[in-house]
Amino acid sequence: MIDDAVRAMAEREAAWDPLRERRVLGRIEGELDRRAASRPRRWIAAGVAAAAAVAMVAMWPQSEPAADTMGLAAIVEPAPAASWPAIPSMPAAAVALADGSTATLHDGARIELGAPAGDDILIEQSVGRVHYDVRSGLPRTFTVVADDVQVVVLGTAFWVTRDDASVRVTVEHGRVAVMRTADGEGPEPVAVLVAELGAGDELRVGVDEPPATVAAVSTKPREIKSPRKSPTATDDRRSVDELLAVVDDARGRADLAAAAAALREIVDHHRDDPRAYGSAFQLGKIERSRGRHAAAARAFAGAAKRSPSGALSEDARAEAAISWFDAGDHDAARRAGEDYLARHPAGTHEARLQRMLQRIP
Amino acid sequence: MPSSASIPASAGDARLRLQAADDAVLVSRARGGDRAAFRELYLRHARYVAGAIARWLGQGADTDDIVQDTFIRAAERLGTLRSPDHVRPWLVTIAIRLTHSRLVRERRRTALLRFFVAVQPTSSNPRDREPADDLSAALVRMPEGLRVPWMLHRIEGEKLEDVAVTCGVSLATVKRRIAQCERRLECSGDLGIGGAS
Repeated sequence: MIDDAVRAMAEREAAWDPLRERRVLGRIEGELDRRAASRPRRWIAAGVAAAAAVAMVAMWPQSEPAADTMGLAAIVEPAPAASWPAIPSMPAAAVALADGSTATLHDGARIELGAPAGDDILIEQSVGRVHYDVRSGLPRTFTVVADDVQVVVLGTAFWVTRDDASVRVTVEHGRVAVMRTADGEGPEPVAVLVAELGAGDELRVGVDEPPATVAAVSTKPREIKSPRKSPTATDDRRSVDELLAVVDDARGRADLAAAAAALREIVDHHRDDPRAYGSAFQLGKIERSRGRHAAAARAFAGAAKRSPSGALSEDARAEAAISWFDAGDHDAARRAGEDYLARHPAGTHEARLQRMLQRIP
Repeated sequence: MPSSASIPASAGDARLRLQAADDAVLVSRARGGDRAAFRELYLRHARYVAGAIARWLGQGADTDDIVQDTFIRAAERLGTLRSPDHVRPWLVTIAIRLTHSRLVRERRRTALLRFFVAVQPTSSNPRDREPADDLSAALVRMPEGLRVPWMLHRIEGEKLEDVAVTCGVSLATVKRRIAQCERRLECSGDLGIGGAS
């Protein structure tokens, strides 16, 4: 009965004593003093903080064993919060991780290193912009958590930019899986795959928006860790995992036609799979790199139509307009461009699309 | 409150006067930067706030951290306190929010670990868990607008009128939200306390 649980909960008491009381009070007053002292001279503190971070990073024990480095949670704050006065040429701090990977912190970034299990690496990024260069080929999971967005890395270099409203992931090379946590049907939260990104991809996730793919929750352990398994399907219709493996292999061989065909199969035959959305966007990019601009435009438009408020939809609308323009279909480009500007008047592609519209005769 | 205009007061006298002052006076003085008044507020309410955290979180080292964060946040936002004589439930409300943030963060980490390294829940067998543990977990999933008034009233024993003042809503709204929260908890299948009743 709920009353029993309420009673049991209400009877819980804190182990609170005068010693704890004084200790916590001392910490509170120390923190309030520190904040009061830092307010009028923040620009000084900013320089000191940055210098201290650089010094600390220089002393980071690069050659220590993984267990020693990762066993303790560590907080790294190389630069001041974004609300402080801007300091020109703020130095970035490079953190060498035990597995040989590096995290370079910019714009007041703050990361916390945790030790989830074994050699796995878990980094919590609470603010700022960080460039991660991750060693590939190691038998461990490398994960960056920013708010409820998780970036799971399979050997790559990428950026994560965390601000109040969003988390942006930009991949330089390699491949990452972007995930979010959400309430599932059970009492525990579940991790949900949002998209898999490859080289050159960028994804912005609004942290106040609910995950777009919550309905298709997957809870299989390590599902993302083996995306490159050999496609051995014997039936006519291959699974999304198998098709994504084909895409990976094809892109690795620079066989864009094969990659596009596999992506098109996902889009056409696995419409209900949450990865079909990201696949449509990927298909657009590949088609454009093949010079098939009309096909690219249709793929981008399909992605935007599939999830009008999805994380990729703004980018998809813009890319569709540009692709129609490149394909020479100026009417479609104008419609798509005006549609983008109507939906995203202050969007990130606004200037680009204005220029495009000016070029349409 | 004794008059402070007569003879010069010693530190002990000042402390006695502060102890005799009501919360609203202390809040007013603390807003003006009186550190001693803020310290007195802490000494009055820290144990209660720690208890509120422990009732949800159970015993743990996190309690000290959340008490610390609660009073730091309170010091910074004292100017936003609408009813200075309701400082205790206001502090508990801050503590509940901070505790919730911490629990959500832990849940995210757990979910992520379970996804990738097949970590099992620590108490998968319902018989290993106390009813209060199930209730604590269920409250994490409850919307804040329902959770805060319900906890203030049902767990902390605050009067409905005081909860209404603290939450800045009408008495009727508080009653409705508490009832709604109660219904959701009772219907929650994963609680282990609703299905059997």
